[in-house]
Amino acid sequence: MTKSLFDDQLKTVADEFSKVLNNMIPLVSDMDYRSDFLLSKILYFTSNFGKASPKRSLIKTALALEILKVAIDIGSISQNEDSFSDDRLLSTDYLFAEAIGQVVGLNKPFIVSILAKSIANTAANRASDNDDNPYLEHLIVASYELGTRLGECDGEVDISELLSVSELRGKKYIKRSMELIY
Amino acid sequence: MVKIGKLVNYPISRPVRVELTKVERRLDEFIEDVPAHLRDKIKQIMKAGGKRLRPILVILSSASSGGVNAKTIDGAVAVELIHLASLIHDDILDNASSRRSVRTLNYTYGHNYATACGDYLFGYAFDVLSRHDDSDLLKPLTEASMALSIGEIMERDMAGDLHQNRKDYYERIDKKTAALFSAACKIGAAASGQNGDGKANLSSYGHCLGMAFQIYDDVLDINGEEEILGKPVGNDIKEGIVTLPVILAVKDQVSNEIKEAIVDPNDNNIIRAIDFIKESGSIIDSKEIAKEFINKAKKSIMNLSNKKIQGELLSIGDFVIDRYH
Repeated sequence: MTKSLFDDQLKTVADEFSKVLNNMIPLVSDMDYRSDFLLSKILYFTSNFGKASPKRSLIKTALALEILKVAIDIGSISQNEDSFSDDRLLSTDYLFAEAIGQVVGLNKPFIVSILAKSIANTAANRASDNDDNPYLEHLIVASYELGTRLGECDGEVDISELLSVSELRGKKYIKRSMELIY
Repeated sequence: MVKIGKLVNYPISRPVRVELTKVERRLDEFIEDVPAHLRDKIKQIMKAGGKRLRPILVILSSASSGGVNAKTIDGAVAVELIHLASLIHDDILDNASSRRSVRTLNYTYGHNYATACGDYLFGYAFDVLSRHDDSDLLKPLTEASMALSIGEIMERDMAGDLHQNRKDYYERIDKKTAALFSAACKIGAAASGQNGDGKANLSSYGHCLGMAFQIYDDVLDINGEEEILGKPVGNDIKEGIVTLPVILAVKDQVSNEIKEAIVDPNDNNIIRAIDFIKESGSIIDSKEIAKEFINKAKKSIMNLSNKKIQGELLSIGDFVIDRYH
C-alpha cells in the first residue's frame, strides 16, 4: 500500500538524506547509516489524508525526523552497550541541532515544537529505570502529529494499517506509540 | 518559591532583578513539568547557582529598544537551558566530578543518565521558544546550538595538539562559547522587534563579550583558586585542551613541562605545567587580549540610543574580565 503511494516522495527523501549525511561531520558521515524510513512513511501517509501538500515542508520535516532517528539510534547503541562513548555524545548533540536546523527556516515553529518535545520525551524515557524502554515511540508519534498538521487533516487519521504492514511489525514500541497517538 | 538570593549578589544582576525573577519563576515552572524521575537531578544543576549571564543579555538586549515582554523571558529561559545542557554534556566529556562546588550528574548518576538530562534540557529549550510562533527567535538558538556542538567536536579533535595557533583557538571558542552569547543578544533584540543595525550591533557585542568570557575562563582554569571556582584548577591541561595561555606560553619556546602534563596528567606534572605558564607571562598577555575583546564589544554598542541599558551592557564587559569565577 504505502510503497506504491509514496515511492517518489520517499525516494526524494532518501536521496536528500544521503546528501545531508554525507555533508555532516566525519563522526556521522563515516557511519554508513541505513534508514528504514519508517518515520518518513508515517509522515507522508498521514499528511495524505489532509487537504494540503506542502512539498518542501514535508521533505525538510522528513529529513529532520530521519536525522533525529540517527541520533536516537546512536544513543540506544551507547546505552545498550553500557559503555559510554564521547563520540556518540558529540554526534547526537550535533544531530539534534542539525535536525532542528532543517526545519527552522520553514517558518513553521509548530514543527520545531513537536520535534523538540520528542527529543525531551525520548530523553526522559532513556533516563527511566524501566528496562522495557522503547526509544522510538515519541518519534513515531511526532511523525504522525507532523503529518496531520502539515497535511491539514481534519479529524483522526488511522495509521494502524501502515504500522501493521511495516517492517517493524511486532516491535514493542509500535504498540506503545499507538497508545500515545490514540 | 523563587529564590534569586545568589543571583542578586552579582552586581550585573541588580538592574534586571525584576525580569530575572520572572525568568527564575519560568524555570521553576519548567522544573515542575519535568518527569518525576528527572526532576530532582535537573533541579540540582539548575539551582546550583551560576551568573545567569546569558539571560541577562537577552533581557538587556530586549530592553535596549522596545522593552521586555513574554518572548524575552522565554528567550532568556531557552538560552539558559541550552547553556545548562551544554554544561552537563561538557562535564561528561571532561569527566568532571564537581561544578560550582556541586557534584556533577555524571559523577553521581553515570554518563548515560547525565546525557539524557542534557538532551531533555535541549529539547525543552526549543519547545519553550517555539510556543511564540516566531522564527526570528528560533533561528539564533538553532545556529548557536549547532555551533556549540561543532565547537565541542573541534575541542576534542584538537586536544593535546600544541601546534595550534591563536586563529584555531579563536575559531573554536567562537563556536563553543561566543555563539550562544551572540544568540542571546539576537534573541533579546528579536523579542522586542528590533532588526537591522541595532540587532547586528548587539550580536557583535555578544560575540566579543563571549570571546573575552571564554579567554578569561581559560585564564582562571590556570590562575584561579579552586575554592572560589568550585572546580579543580588545571582541568583543561588534564583533558589536553590547549587554551590561549598555553598557546602563548609555547609560542617562542618548547615546554617539556606542558608536554609531560598532557601525556601524563598527574598532579605533579600539572602543577609544573601551571608554574611554567605563569612564569612565561602568558596569563598577563591573555588577560590583555580578553580586554581587547571587551573594548571591541563596547565599541559595538556605542550608538545604542538607550544610554541606561548601554551603561549596564558596558559594566557587564568590565565584570567579565574582573571576576574570580
